[in-house]
Amino acid sequence: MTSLAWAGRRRFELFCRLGAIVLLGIAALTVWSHGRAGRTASRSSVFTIATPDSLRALRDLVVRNETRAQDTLVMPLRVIPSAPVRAALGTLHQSGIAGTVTWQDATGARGAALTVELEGRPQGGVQLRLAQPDSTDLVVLRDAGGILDSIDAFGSLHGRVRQWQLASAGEGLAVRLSGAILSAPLSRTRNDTVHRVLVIASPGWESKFVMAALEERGWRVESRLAVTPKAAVMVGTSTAPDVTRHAAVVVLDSMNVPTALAAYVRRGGGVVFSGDGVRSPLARELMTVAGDTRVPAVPGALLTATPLDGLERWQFGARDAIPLLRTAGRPTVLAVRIGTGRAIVSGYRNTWQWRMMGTDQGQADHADWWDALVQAALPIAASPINAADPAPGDAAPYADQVAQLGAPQPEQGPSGELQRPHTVSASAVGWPLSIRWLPWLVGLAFGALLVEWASRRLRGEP
Amino acid sequence: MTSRPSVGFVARQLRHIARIRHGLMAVASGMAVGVIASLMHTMGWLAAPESIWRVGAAAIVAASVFAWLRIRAIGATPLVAALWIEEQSPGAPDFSLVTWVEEGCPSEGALARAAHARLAATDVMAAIRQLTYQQCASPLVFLIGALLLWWRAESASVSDAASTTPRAMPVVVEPADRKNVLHPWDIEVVPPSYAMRRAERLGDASSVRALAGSRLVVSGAAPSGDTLPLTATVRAIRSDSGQAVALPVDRDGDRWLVRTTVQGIPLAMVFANDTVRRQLVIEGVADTVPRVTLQAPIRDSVFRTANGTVPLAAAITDDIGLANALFEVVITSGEGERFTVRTVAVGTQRWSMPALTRRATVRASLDLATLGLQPGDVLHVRAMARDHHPDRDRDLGRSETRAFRIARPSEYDSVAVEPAPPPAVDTSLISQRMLLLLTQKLDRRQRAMPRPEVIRESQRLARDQARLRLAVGDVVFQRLSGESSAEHAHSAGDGHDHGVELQGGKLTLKSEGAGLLDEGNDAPVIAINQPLLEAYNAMWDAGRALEQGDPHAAIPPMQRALEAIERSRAASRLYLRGRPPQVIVDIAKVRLTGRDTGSTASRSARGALPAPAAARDRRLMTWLTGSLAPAAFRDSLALLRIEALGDAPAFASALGSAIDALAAGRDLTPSLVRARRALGVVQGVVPSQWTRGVPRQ
Amino acid sequence: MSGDARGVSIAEPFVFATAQYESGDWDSAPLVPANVIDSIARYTNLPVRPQGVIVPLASDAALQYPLLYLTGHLPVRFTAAERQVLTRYLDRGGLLFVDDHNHDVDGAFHKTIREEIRRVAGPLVPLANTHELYRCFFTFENGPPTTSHEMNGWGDNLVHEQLDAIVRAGRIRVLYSNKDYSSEWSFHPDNKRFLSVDNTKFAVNLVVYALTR
Repeated sequence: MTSLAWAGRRRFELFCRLGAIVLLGIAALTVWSHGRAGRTASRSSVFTIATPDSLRALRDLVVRNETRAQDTLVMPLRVIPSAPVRAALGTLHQSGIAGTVTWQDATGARGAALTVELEGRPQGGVQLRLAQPDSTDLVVLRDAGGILDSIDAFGSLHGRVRQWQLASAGEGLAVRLSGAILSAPLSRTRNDTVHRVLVIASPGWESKFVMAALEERGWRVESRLAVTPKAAVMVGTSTAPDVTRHAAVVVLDSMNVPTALAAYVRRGGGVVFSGDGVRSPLARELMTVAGDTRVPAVPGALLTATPLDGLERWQFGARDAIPLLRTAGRPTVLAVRIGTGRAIVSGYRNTWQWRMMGTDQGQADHADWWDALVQAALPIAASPINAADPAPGDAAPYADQVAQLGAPQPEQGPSGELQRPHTVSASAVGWPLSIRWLPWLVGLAFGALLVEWASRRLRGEP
Repeated sequence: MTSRPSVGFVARQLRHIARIRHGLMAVASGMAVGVIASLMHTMGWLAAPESIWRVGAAAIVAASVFAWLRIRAIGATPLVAALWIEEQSPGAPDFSLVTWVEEGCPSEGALARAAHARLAATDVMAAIRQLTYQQCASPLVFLIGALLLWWRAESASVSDAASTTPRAMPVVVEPADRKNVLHPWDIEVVPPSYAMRRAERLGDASSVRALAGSRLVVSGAAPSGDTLPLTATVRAIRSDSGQAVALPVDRDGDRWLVRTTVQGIPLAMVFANDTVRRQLVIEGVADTVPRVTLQAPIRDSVFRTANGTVPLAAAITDDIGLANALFEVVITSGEGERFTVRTVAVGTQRWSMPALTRRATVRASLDLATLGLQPGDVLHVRAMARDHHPDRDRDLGRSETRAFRIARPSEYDSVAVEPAPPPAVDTSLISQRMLLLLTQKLDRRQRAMPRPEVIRESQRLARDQARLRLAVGDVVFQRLSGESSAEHAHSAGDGHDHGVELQGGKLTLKSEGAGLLDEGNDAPVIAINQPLLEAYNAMWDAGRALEQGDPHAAIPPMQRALEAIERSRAASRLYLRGRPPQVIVDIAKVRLTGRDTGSTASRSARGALPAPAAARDRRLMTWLTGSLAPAAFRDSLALLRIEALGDAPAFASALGSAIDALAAGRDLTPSLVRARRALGVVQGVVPSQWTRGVPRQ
Repeated sequence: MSGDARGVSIAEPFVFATAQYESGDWDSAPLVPANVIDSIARYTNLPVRPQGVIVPLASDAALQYPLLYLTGHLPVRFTAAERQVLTRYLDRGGLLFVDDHNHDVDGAFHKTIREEIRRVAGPLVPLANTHELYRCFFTFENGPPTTSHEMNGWGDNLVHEQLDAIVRAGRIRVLYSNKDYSSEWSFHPDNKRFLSVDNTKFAVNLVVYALTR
């Protein structure tokens, strides 16, 4: 072979070597860029948000992108983005900087809302309410400590709302369903609810054990237990219902109900009429309850899984009230709003028997029952978390997403294939190559090196 | 100088350079594989979860490449070295050195001189340095680049994995370098002598479970010097006033020693110096008292006379060893306010050391005749046992108590001893059946009898019927006051209200029967014998007919009365033990008639019961989300586990699993999720329109 | 029981319950319930049943009466069922008032009942004479009122300055007396008119305390 041919071979080999080095350099920069961003934002207008925390990638796209007004940015979203990302997308959409911004719904979410509320009970607690249209997907409740609960499906039995009560909850409380993660921050706002309860009752086992139950759950009880017309046992100092002093008033006795109680409720107080308290004229006036029938207790039921059946109760015929508990189709616990206050009516008499004559769990159940009754009567939110939430859309992220970007485009075309964006912006911003090109780059580089090596060895050079 | 060593030196250097190049190439190849694997993992093409797999694959590739290169390598022989030197020589090669080597390196001659001259003219060392640079620079650059890329790829992979599938719980691994005065230590547990157990060496344990009373010795390597820069304290874990008590730290040669005694409550020992702190959790297991079961006699009894022998037997078990057992017989004599009590021990049995008896059955017999019992005396028999625990004031194991009574001769009419004998029969009463027969007989004969005679006979039967009716009336109402007559004072407006009304001479139940048992103002009627009430009323009808001299009309009600009485006889019977005298307070009469009046008092508030589940969950979450050091996290878990052992065994068990996982470097997530579920801090609530929640049944 | 839709009180009346146990003479003071009931009616307007009840300690029926009165002279050995029911009773909020009818610290009742109580609920400790029990209705400055039976020649002839109790979470679970109120209060209530000072007033405090604490 001539020296000229050898020189050509050498130039070709040099070209291969340099090409391999350049390709490897590009690959290295691609990897470097990917590692810096955690996950590189796609340069394509098909912008995939894999996690709710891709705000940085979105920012890169928005700040560096040279998209034109006539471009269309279509994002197939596998999850509902977090609130800041949604807000950014909404701004992008409204401003027209990146052209038309639309999205394709690959989340599987069908619109759900989550509220997280600190309860007003003294021992704290969090209440979660999840509202979602019909779905058969798995719902997982979790926080930073792991999975707390999982529900198989929303059956018709429970409708479209699911509710949890958490005695304690860690950071990062979230619900995952249909590929979407709904979260609402757990506020560390101080619980300002007044934990004082006024009990209107006469001395007896019911008043004694109701007060004991409330005190066991941390409520501060106030009452005047009249032993004689002149002498009484005072619990606490105040006996007049006061909105600023009492979180709720519990009426156990149909007599001696102060007339100021009606004004207390209408001004925003909470009241619980229980047992014979429901027979007080005020309860009848407030609750429009009717019915004078007493349903006898089922003997032995206190030791069963339905201990309330073991208590004698007043039977209601209620109007304009929300039944909270039913037995045999008849409401036994009702709730109603009165003015700005709330009232609860529970027909069960002698609930102390649940504690004394029930199962070993009866004492705790009785205390929980009364804790829940008073909690249900609390008229104002214990801590308005959602009102103070900087990202209010987190209560319903899907709805917020639709509000920001409009309804999603159909994900699949008539033929079933995934529709691609109509316009792809051309100019590169930042590092243009996606990590997906890396294997090709490396492979090409190795190929070039292999060709160079083969050429060199075939020339007889080492 | 000879040229052969120089050529040999160059040959060795060339071989070294080749080995270094091969090594670098092999490592670089492995790095390349690692980079590719990391990127594939990042992009989700590779499912291998742990980086250790990628490192392993890279190492295997590197070793394979190295081996392949070494096998293929051509050894740098002296001839090759000589040829290489010739190439490095200035000017055209004359192959004198090569020829000289091929000729076997002769020391004399022109060839040797030419070779030496060639060697001398060549700067061999500079050429070797240049070759080293040429051969190793490229692989080294490749290696460094691959290393950087791998590092970036790994960090990207980790950050991406963290953002997509966050681990709920951290994997906490003990730092490798933890050698200090507290690591490792050695723990020795010496059980109390009465337990007859061997001392145990537990090594470097973080928690100890030992019998209360055991001696615990913790020791470790002590630094040289006069003083021990170490403090040790112990405190009760569950005590509210958990004051830590300092323990002396002794030196025994080159080791430090801390001694303490295991108690029946959980303890936490904390060792600390200026730099390290370590905790030892001590779970004291209390020695339980013997468990005694009385096997004989099996029930209480009443003896007619104080004669005979009563066999006694009891089964006893203990966790350590039994010391003695006996049957205690308490004999009570007397009545009213005068009683004498004496105690007799029967069947005492002792078990001596060193043999430990954990299970035994003791038997004895109680000879009643030797106890000098009198009628009315009561014997309480039970078995008692003590173990070898040295505390003599400690509680004993006790069985159930059986009571025997020596009957009084006068008490055989008491149902407390035997089923009550029937009350004395009023023999003057004529039974209803007899009255019916007499009435029917009179009815059959009345046509043949003069009317006055019929009336006289009929009225005589009416009187008998009335007496019988009154007798029945005594048992129609069972009244707490002891007043039993049905006709005691029932009249209109008398204020009595027993749930019955007197209409004519008959008694009728009020329609609103509720409240019969708890009416407030008079002697409550606790039961009404309905058949007898019916009989009573039928007797009234019969008696009235008989009084009017109409025996024929009296027969149907008399038959009804007889049937009702028969039904009553067929009813189930209750034998009462006897009733104390009853006094019914007339509440309305005495209400607020007292001369003294009470005063208004204030009641103190009661504290809230703790909510341990929520508090424990909050503590757990604080540790998990905080930046707790691994050792502190482990110690905290151990403390929490001990706290929860008593009231939340499932939670404590899950924490134990977490501690084990922590020690083994495994993922804690499953154990801690299980622990939180055991706490039950999450409750599903029935959804309602009422957003404040709904009370659960 | 009566009820009225217009708001008349239909509270359950207080029922004085005497504990009946298998061993010993649980019914040694049969007139005490009537006397206590009479005093409650005499000094308060608490609804009260005119007659007490006797409830077996081994029966779950005891749980219907959160205040139980137990007395006797003879050794007390609770059966397993009695021990179990009493444990539940005290844990759930019941108050057991035990009075030593012997008023004798060396007596069989005193020794055995305290041992049984210790096994069920823990050791008895003296109750401070400033406790709410002595001030919740009538005021007893010096603690439990002395009885005439404490120095009557029987028993230990000691005037016991304090009652013993087991208190948990601010509530008396077991109240133990060596003062022999069972003898002091064991007379027909009608005879109170002969007393210059009613010696049953402490019973009112006991009931008021049980109903309000």
